[in-house]
Amino acid sequence: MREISFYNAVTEAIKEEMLRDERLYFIYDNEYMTKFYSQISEMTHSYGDSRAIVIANSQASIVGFGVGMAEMMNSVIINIMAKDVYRAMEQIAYNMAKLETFYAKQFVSNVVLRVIVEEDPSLGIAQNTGVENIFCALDNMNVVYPSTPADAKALLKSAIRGKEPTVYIENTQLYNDVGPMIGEESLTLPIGISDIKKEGSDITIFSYGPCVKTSLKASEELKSDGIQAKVVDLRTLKPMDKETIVQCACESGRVIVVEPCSMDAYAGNCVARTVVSGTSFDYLKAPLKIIASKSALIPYNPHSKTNDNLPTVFEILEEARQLMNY
Amino acid sequence: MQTDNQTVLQLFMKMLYARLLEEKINFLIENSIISAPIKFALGQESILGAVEALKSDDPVFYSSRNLGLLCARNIDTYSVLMELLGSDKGLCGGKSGQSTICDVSNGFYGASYLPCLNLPLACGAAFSMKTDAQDSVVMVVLGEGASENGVFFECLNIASLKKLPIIFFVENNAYCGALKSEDASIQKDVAYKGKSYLMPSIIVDGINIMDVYEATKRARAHILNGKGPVLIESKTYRLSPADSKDKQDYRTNEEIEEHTKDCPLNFLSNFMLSNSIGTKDDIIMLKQKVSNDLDLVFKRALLDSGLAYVSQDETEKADKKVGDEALNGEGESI
Repeated sequence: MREISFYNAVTEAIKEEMLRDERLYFIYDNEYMTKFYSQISEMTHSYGDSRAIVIANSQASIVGFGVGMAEMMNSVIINIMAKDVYRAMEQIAYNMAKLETFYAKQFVSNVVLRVIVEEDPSLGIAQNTGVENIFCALDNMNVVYPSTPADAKALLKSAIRGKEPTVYIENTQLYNDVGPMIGEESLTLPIGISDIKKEGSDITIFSYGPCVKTSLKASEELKSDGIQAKVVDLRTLKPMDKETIVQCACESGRVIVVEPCSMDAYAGNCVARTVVSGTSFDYLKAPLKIIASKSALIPYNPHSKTNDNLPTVFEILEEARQLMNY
Repeated sequence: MQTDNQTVLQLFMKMLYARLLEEKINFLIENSIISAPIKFALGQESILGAVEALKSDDPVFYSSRNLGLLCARNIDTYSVLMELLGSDKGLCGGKSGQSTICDVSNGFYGASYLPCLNLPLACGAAFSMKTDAQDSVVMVVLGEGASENGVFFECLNIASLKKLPIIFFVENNAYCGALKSEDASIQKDVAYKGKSYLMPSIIVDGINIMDVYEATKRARAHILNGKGPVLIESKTYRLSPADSKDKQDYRTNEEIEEHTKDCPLNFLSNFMLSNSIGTKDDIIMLKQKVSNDLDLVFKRALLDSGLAYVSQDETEKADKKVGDEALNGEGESI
């Protein structure tokens, strides 16, 4: 079993898939190239300009370009930075999400949109936390948000090999996290399955992305209070793993959702809806709690490179103890 | 370069088919059998010349005024009608109506309901054809209003920089909805926009389908020599309203009638008669044959969708409108 960083796991997944399928194309823009120059130059060296394609300064058409290539029986990974998502939104909403349905499946859309989320506090107005909620509002697309290196590699491979349009969200704050790589090198994970990262029967904490780490730390500290908290990593926001949610809520009867954006986000509301409208309603022992960022905007901070606006361990501990005493 | 007689006759047949198809669908709308806002392209039938000049498997992407275009190649008119009527047997299973109607097996890769929505798709498809080294050329049809859009300029840059095998065909039909195009754009000739991206750009007379046909053939040969994309601007006039709910208060009937005398069908029929490619009787017979063929398709489509069959007398009245203007007048028309 070897240890690998999140960033290296993603790079390995891309390399392995490019080698495996010669009709896979990698499309990126100049913003991505500036941030990941060494990765791009290696890819261009191995595969040339016609498989690693740069579309410069045209974020409003890059996603459509990728879908156009997919119409000619290719597979495509389109890479954009999250701050350009809003400019690309027309092509995503019409041509990536809806086109296959309205063409009555006359072509298959093998498109993966890889969105790089940067949560630097010095980004100012271009901050883009919570961009996953916009994709969740569109139909017909899968939205995936891994939190560990092993999940990142396996989910990216599944998304590339799957024949559905998928949005793969990558948070740069997780790039240096190191984790074990388990199983075979070509392991893929089905999209739509969550993962129980820690067992426990008193409280269930649902989380995704950068908040999984915080939830695991809180779960460790709750042990000294005699509280066994289960931590579930949702991994896929759309379609969400509703069976696991209902099962875990029935088991423990106390549910907390920890999410990295503000309160009106998708994940917390979806978990709440599932728990309350299913069989788990009869097993609830306490109200459902959603812990989100305190403010919708990350305050400007030229001295920090991390997003300090995320839910803290302290907040989770407080809510968990309150729920146990309900 | 002169177009040969066989091709002229073929082009005339296709334009006649497109014109009659649109007139008959308009008749269905006037009788409330279809109430969706369908967009017609009367007066713009010369686009069929461009499609004829391409090979039969060259991909074509097009805009929302697409009913005339769907008379090209081997596209089944019955399936087109069933799509507009919302039936399962339509080209897109009745899901899209006119908005993204497509027939991928015949190389028609879809309409764009909004301006410039499928321009990037066409560029991606062209890149794929170039990488696969196929001798194919992609054509994308758009209007002059769409050429003000930011995505248009992004795609001109991408296509020109990467030398993509694509023809940008701009149909300048003088109106953007209710607004005249000359009041909407400072640059009246879209060809200069292509020129500013170092793309060979030409202006053709959209009333003369032979001009369109020959220009597209030259453009295709230019592209297959590896010299990069081409922009063709076709100056036409939109005879039909913006959509079927448009009352056309912004232009006079005199203006419409004047341009109807100058429409592509009249131009080509005059050319044929003055070059002895056919007689007046031949043309009338052709029109009757095409109209009868279409009537059979319409009858089958309407009966299969469980709707009222439009009787023969009523369709003849609609046909007579086209016949009077195009063929039976004296003097200039013939």
